Amino acid sequence: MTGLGAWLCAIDHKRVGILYMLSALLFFLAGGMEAMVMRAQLAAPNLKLIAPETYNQMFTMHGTTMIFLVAMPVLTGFGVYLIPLMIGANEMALPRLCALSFWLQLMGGVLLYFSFATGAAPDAGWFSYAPLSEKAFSPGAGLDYWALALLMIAGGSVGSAINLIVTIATERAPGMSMRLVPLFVWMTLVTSVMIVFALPALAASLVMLLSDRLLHARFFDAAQGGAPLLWQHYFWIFGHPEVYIVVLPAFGMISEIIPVFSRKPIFGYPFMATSTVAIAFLSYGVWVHHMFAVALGRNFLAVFAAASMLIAVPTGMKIFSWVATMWGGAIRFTTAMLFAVAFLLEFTVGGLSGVAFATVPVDWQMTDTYFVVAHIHYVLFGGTVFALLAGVHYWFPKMSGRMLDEKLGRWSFWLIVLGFNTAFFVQHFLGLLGMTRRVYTYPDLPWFGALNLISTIGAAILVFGILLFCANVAMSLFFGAVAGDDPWNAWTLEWAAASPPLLQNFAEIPEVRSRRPLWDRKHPEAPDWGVA
Amino acid sequence: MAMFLIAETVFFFLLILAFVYFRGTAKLSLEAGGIDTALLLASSLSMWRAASSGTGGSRPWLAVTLLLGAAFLIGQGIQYLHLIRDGVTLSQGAFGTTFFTLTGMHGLHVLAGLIALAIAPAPALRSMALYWYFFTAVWLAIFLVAYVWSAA
Amino acid sequence: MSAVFSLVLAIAAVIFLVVAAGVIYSAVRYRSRGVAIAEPRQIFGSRNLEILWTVVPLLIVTGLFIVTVRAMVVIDAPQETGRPSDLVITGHQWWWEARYPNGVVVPWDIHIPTSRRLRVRIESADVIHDFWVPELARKMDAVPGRWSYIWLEADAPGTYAGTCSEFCGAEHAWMRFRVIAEPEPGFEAWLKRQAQPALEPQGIAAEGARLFQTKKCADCHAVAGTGPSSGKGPSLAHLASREFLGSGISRNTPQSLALWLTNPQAAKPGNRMPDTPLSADETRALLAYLESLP
Repeated sequence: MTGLGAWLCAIDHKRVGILYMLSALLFFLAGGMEAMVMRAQLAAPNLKLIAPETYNQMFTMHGTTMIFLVAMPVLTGFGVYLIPLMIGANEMALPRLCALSFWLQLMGGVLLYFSFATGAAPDAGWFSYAPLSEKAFSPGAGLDYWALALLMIAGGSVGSAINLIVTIATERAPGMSMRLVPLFVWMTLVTSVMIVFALPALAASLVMLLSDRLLHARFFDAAQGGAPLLWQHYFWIFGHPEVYIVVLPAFGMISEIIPVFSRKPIFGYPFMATSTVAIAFLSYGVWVHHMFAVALGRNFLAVFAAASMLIAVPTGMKIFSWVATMWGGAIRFTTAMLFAVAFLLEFTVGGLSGVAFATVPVDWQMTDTYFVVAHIHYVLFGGTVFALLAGVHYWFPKMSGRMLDEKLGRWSFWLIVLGFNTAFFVQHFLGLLGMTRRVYTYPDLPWFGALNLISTIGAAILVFGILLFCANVAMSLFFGAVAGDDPWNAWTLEWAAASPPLLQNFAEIPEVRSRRPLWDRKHPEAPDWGVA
Repeated sequence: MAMFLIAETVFFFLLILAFVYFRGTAKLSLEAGGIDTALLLASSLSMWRAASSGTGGSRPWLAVTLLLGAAFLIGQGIQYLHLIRDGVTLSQGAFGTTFFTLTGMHGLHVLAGLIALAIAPAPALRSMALYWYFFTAVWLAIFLVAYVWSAA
Repeated sequence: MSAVFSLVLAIAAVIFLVVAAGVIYSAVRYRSRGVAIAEPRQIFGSRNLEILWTVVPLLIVTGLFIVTVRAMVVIDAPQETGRPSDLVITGHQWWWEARYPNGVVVPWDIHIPTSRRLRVRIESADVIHDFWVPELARKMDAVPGRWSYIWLEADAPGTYAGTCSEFCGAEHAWMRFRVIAEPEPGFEAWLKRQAQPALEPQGIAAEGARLFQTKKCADCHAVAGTGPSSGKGPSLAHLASREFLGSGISRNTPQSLALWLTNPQAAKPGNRMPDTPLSADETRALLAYLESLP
């Protein structure tokens, strides 16, 4: 079968991986449009470009899209594509589950966006707090679409997570113990385990919400003895691990890219792997930090403040590791490396603003303001998306057999950096000045209009940069220079396969003796396994 | 399958937690619950026999499992009818909400399991057996929490 | 509180500068200048360095945690429900309402005496809201079915802006309020004025008062300063002396008031006020009545 049919029926992990990435790109553009509609509406005080209900639908769909239909799928896609190649395998352990998980996720996305066609997209925020999300306060069908779509997406997510765990556990090349796998594999494994433990909490919450909405159950209805806070607890028990789920694989990408373009191995591999496991464990003990503004009891809140501050430590040490990897190296600033280095700075800002929120009294002023919006975008965009952009520039040659244009890459990089920081850095100040989030407009208070306008302009520049990046990808697919197997002189197994890899990745499964099998091959006089 | 069951553990743990949190009260028949428990335990036993016998010998044991599983669901259904007749429904309050959601979700999984067992090819039997034991175990937890502990 | 924030900001700035210095220095000093050069020294790690950059951050966050807990103890109000509160504030979709111990119920502009630390109870009549007046108190979620308490204290007289800070539906953006702090005597005088019943309406305003009942406005809106609030709509007692309407969405002018009567959805899209058909005369009468409420 050729053409479209081949893609629709694909179970080859490379094809499914690319399907994930394409689907994520489409939803990224949709989510980006939703963001631009919001930024346009907020460009000046008291604008009436769109109705309040429309705005509320925009931010609900933007958040839901970016987390569930962009970040998770694209990272899954990279995982599904790269993991077998990195561990010297020819396929995922469960190829049909691989495809099923993708289509389930896509169907969920289609269902979610179908709600627009019915005139009632969900509008209670991506976190849909009860009782606002109950039928009494949200009578339209939007939230039913939201919950059902998310159940499908969650199912797909768990499916792919199970697949990745089983693949990493059973398909590694001979000699590749878990102590020798690339860090991207480690991060993907930990993320997948986290998905298995976190997504069911979302599923339970959604089942309970749907029971309330459609079957008149009483989980969250305070007037009938229900508990609105139960929704928050259950949602954030999912929600906090979720944000680590969307950032750890990005960490994995950075851990592959910075070493290659610094010409040095990753600094402190054992600590990097261990700290990832520590983050995974700790992430299940911090969820209440999303609820600091609720009167839950000082001692109760203090425990979660401690855990939230603690989790900054294994996260921070990674930043230091990456910098130490660059130190003493021979750095080549390809576009991939530019994005990776920018990631270091942007994610640090985002992580530090996170520590500010762990400081409960600061949270008691800053939560639910634009300070949070700044924080989340620095870690999710400056973090995950920048890492993804680095990853695309790094692995595009492997996936397509062609190089991306470096000049266009640089242009898009600087536009994205300029646009992103302009759009989001000023939001720290807006939060400090008292602007709440999730508002469709604001009064003409001092600086509110000016800062919002700057943010909107920044967003427009960012969009332009992203479009330039998309153009680069589209053009290079057809006109890019031929890449060859190993254009970056890299060290992990995926670079031993062809570009793009044949259906059977490896004619002969290699034997592995160190973390950098290709380094060993290229440097037989100083192999990694010879180092004490 | 093990990974999938870990995910299901989290899911049911949270639903049981919600049940315990609301600590609703209603009259549940310990005898009916006990019979259902016995049915499911027996079905796990027959499932084990089916999984451990060779490809030929599994058929009759599988049929027994299906019958016992179906009997369990029918028992659940009868209990539901009695409760609804007594005015305990999903919207009745904390107990109805949490009880019906918890047992309903469990029952749906049992039904899905029965269907899967009926159509699954032989190599899948070991995995399906794990699934079946798991949902018997979940039922035990539900029985202990909802029937035994609440009655106290 | 600002001291705590300054501390966090200082720590963040230092850490960011350390990271940025490392990144920029490496980027400049270790940039590869040639094309084909030998690989640099392959360093795999340094146990000492890694321990250092684990322990130092650990110490920093421990210190920060201690500062945090100390500040929490000072800022947080006791949450026992037994003690009476000085003020009860209820969040509705989409307005705030304050109930004083003497029975006065006031929406939107909450008056308090200066230099007295008030223990305020925060509740919600429908969905989760959040009471936030940045200059005077911490945020507190208003959760239906629960009572939560904050300290509210203004050292200096003035008008302090506040807003709802938890997404609560269509008009969350316009669920603003003000806390107006004045010295004790002024506050007491205000409180007494609020408790006074409305004067008997005269002339066209009397017609308006009659329409207020027959057109069912009174079902949702109280006009007496005290007494039970329906909870369905904000009290309109003393409407004439209010500066804003609709929790800040418009100023209290005859035009905006008229818009509320003739087309509530245009005044505040999504709000719960039904559209009652009124003739021009009826509108004029009602306006006269509302403007007569001192």
